[in-house]
Amino acid sequence: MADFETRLRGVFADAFETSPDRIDDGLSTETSAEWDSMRSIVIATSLESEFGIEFTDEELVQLDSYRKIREALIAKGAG
Amino acid sequence: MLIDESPQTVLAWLAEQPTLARTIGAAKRLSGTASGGAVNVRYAVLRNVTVEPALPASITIESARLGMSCSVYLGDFDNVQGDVYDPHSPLYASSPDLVVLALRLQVLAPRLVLEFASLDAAGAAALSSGVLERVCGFIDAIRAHSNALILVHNFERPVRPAYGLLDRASASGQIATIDRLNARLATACAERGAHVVDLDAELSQLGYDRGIDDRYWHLARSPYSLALHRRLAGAYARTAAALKGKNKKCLVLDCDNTLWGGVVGEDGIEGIALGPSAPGSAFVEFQAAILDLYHRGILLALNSKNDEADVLEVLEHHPDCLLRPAHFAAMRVNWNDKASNLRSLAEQLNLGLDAFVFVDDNPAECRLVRDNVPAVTTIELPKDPSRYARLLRDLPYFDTLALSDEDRRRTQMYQAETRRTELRGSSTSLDEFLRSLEMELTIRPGDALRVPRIAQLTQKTNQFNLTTRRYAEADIEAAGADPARAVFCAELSDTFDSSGIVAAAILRDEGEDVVVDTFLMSCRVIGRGIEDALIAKIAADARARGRRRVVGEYLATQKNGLVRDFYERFGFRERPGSDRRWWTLELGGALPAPPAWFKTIVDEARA
Repeated sequence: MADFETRLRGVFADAFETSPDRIDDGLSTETSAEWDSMRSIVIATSLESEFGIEFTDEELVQLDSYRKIREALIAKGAG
Repeated sequence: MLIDESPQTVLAWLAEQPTLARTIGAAKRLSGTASGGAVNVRYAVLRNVTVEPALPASITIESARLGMSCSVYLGDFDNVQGDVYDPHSPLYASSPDLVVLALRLQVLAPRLVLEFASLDAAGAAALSSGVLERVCGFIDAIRAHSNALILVHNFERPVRPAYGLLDRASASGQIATIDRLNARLATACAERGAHVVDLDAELSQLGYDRGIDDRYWHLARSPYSLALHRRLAGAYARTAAALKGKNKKCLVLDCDNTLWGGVVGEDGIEGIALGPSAPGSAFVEFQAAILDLYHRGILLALNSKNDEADVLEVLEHHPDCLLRPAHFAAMRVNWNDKASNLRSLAEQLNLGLDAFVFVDDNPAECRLVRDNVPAVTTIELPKDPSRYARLLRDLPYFDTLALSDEDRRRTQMYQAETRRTELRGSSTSLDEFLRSLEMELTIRPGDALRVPRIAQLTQKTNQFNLTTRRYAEADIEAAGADPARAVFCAELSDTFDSSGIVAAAILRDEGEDVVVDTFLMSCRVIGRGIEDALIAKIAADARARGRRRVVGEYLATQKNGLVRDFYERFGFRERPGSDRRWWTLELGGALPAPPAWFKTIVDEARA
């Protein structure tokens, strides 16, 4: 299985329909016009099935950047 | 990223990592791929919950799995009335083949779901009736403005009912109330020719808590998980496949380690595993699943490397064998390669190879068939026989929209055809053979009793079909009721069997012309002159009603080359420059005559 960072980038790349090397820590709802509320749900649902974790209600509304999401996943033990 | 964008490649890419993100990406790619003449389906989904983006993407994927491309119209959130009651709504502008009503009870009648214990029995009953009335109103409105097939989600049965353990004990409990509502919904749908999508059953197979996620319900009014959306989309796609004639017609089975455990040629009839205890019981249950398909009108055939006598001994004499020789339309029990056997079965049964599903436990045989006859859908059985039955029942290929008498009797018909073939061998001339069949043909209008079978013929007939227009029952009914149109069908019986409705035509008046919109015939009766009798009837009928011409239309497909010269054969002239599409028969001259070899031709549809 690929390492954590590669899998994480892969999910984001799928969600934004781009290649994994264009996903970096600067990606957030602030910097990306494509990251709307629908995309948030796509990202969250996809990460949940990829890593076998579940976000809390609070996390679901706060996960607005690639950096934060990576930290939340590591805190849940996915990393 | 991907170079080869065939649907199979995209589906394999999705299967590697079936996340929602990738589901959406896969759907985009599938929409982008050249569908290469694939059947296209137009879906419309009207909903009172958030289903995007998962459901539209899942519909594209499940359609592709069944060899169809599609478009999806999604109605505005919780605005079904805005679409269904307005004849100029975007719903009708999308001219859908299928309209899905995806309505969640929690939105239609929240108190019935969330505050059930606060209601008394009369209150709960009134709310239920109100829900039913609204849904029926939607169905009726769609029916009034469109001939689309209508699919209606039923309602999820509460898994955490209002009265807890006690709920089940009372006929006025929440579970019983929702069950009754679902039963009434099913009846109301059946009365209206609409079809139920059994969301409740999909949910129970998946598991409620895996199918419904309250976090996304509260966050985005999006209750259903991706897994549930895929299942629902699968149900729509199976219905569409049945409507478009993409469903499979024949199940071809291996014998050893497929219908029973062991090798009959070596272990003998006493040595094979087939009986009430393991491992034989798994094979009995697999046979039971096969038998269900037989009763649904799916033809069964054998394709096995064995001495035929050994296999027949099991089928005829094994006490626990559910499948008997009479269940099989054809057998290839021999030492030929299985790909050749499949081609020969296709020829005998007069079906395209893409109508076959082949099931075998042997990976090498499966590979050989996949490589040599890729049009056949090949299913490799898993190692454990205990998994066979469920695998078969889960296959999405065999659904039909209705079950006619013809379906129930199909195998008998094919067996009668085999006996006719034997008679043909012993007749000295074709004419003598046809006369000896003592055929009786009855031509009738397509009345209510016959609408389902006629619609089914339009959906399933590929080869002897001049225009290949697929019609739902509602379309046939509408044509029959329209004074400017007519629906004819032909029923055949002979000395061996009654074949039921074997041919149909749909006609419309255009000024002095009668235009043949649809002319088709079941391939089982090719070569017996049914088409001659029907075209003669159409011409005579048109002349009797004072028309000047019969205009035939031929739309070429990959499968209907058989009828390329059909109209020419009956003296029609090609309309110049129409590229063999339009053909005209002047009714002033000689008309086509019905063949002389019929014992009788009864005309119940006089002009």
